[in-house]
Amino acid sequence: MTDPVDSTYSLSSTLGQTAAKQFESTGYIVKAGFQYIYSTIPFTFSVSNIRADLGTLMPSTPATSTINLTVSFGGAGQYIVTAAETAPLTNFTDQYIENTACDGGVNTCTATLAKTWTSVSAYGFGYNMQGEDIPADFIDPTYYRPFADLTVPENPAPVMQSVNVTQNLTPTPNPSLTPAPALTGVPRDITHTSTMTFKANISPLQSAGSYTTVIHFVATPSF
Amino acid sequence: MKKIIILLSSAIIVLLFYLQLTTNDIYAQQVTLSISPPIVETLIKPGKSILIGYTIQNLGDPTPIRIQVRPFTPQGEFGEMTIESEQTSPVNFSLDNTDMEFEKPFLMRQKDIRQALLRIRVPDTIPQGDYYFIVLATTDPLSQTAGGTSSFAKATIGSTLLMTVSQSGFVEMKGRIALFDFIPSFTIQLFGKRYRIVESGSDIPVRLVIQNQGKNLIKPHGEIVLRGGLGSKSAYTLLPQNVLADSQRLIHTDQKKNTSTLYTHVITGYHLGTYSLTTNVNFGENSPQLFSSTEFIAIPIRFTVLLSAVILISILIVVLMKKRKAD
Repeated sequence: MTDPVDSTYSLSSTLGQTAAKQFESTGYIVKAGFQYIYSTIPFTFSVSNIRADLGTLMPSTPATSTINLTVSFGGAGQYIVTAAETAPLTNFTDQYIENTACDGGVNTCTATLAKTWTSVSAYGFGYNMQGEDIPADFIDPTYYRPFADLTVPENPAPVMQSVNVTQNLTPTPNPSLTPAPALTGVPRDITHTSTMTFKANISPLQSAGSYTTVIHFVATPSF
Repeated sequence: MKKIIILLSSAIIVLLFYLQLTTNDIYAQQVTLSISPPIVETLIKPGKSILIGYTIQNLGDPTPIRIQVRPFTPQGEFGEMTIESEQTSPVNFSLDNTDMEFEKPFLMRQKDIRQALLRIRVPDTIPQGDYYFIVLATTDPLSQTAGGTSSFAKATIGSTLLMTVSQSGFVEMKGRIALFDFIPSFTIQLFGKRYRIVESGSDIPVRLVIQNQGKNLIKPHGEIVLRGGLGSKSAYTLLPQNVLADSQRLIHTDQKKNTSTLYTHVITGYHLGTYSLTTNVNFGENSPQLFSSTEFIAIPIRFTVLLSAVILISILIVVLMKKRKAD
C-alpha cells in the first residue's frame, strides 16, 4: 500500500446556500433518517418470548430454552443488538448459578468469545446464537458464551450486527406507474432473525430453588 | 337423575378448580417495538430549542414502556457505541407530552402507536462541538415469580440523535484515510520489492477506515476504483456514513451483497494480471480529495500448482518408462 497523499487536512466548510439561509433564520437544521437511503420502514426489534423457561434443573443435566430475535430495518443502516444480564441467575436466598466458562482449558469462553460447551461436568449459565447476523465465534450449536454481567460491570456484548438488513435495497420490482410491472421479483428481505439458546447446567452441590435473571437486549441503529 | 347431574357438575367444577391451581402459568409474551426515525441529525445554535417527534409502536403484547435519553460515545471502527448509564450532558431534554414522562413507565397496548415529543434545549453557554445521544424505549421485565429456573427479557430499542452545536454554522472537517488496504492471498519479496498476490478467482476483501480528527462529524464521499492492466475499470461508490468526532470508522460501499461489518467492499470475479486499487475521498462540497492506492497481482495459483504437478508427474512417468525400456 502506498502512503496516502495529502491524507490530513483541516477545512472549515459552510453549508449549502439554502441550508445556510435556513440556519440563519431559524437557528437550526434537522435531518431525519439516513441521508443515503430512502425508507419509510421503521427500525423494529422483536423478542419472541420474554421468558426463556429452563424448567427444573437437575444436576449434570443441561437444560436449554430458545427465543428468537428479529430485526427489521427498511433503510440500509447498520444496526447492533447487544445483550447483558442484570445479574447472574439468582434464587430468593441470593445463591447464584455461575456464568459458564464452557468446557474450560483451551475451550474457556468469555463474554465476547464463544467456545465449545459439551461436557456435562462443566457447570454454569450461558447462551448460543444461530441464524442471521450473529457473531462469527458461534461456529455451531455447541459454542456458548456467558452473558456480560452488568453487576461486574461488563460491557454488553453484540449478539446481532449487520451493515445492511435489507439485502436488496432496490424494491423488486422498481416502483413504476405505467405500465405496472409484472410481480416477478424476489420480495425484499427486510427482516433478519437469529435464535438464542439459553443453557444452564448445575452441579450436585447447587442449592435448590428457582433461579431467575433478566437479560437486557438493546437494539440500536448505528449512526 | 337430578342428583347425578348435580354431582357431575360439582365434580367438573372441582376438577377445573384443581387444574387451575396446579397448572403453571404459560408465558409466551412477545416484545416487538419499533421506532421512527432511526436517526436524527441536527445543526443548532446555542440558546435554541427544537422539538422532535419519535413514533413508537408496540407490535407485540401489551407492555409498560419507559422513555430515556442517554449520551453515547462511538467505539471501535464498526459503528458501535457505548451508552452512558446517566444523562450527564449539558443539553436539556424534556417531553412535551402531557401523559408521558422520562423514566416513568406507561402502558402500550398491542398495536398502540405513541409519539414522544422530545424537546431539546441547547443552553447559551454550551461549548460548540458535537453531542451524541440515543433516545431509548425500554420495556419493563415481567414479574420474576415464575416457578423453575427462568431467564426474563427486557428489550430496548433506540434511535440515534447527532447534534452539532455551532454559533456560525461553520463546521470543522478534519479527516484522514487511516487505512486503505486489502487482504492478499500471500506476499512475496523480490529484489527488494514487495509483491502482493491474490488467487485469480477468489474474493478480495477491501478495508477503508476514515479517521475524524475534528470536533464535528464528517461524511465521506467518493469511490474505490479497481483498474486492470488491460484497461478494465470498476468503480464502487462509498456510502456517506457518519464518522463522529474524534473517532474512526470503516466505511462501506453501496455493494448490496456485502453484509459483513468487517470489510468495506468485497471484490469478486476472475482477475488476471496487475491491478491497481485506488480510493478518492472528500467530505463535502469544495473539500480537497484524499487519495490512497495499492496494487496486487492476480495469478491462478491453484491452476498453476495443479498444472505444474501434472507436468512433473508426466515427466516422471516418461522418464521412468524410458528407464524401464532401457533396462
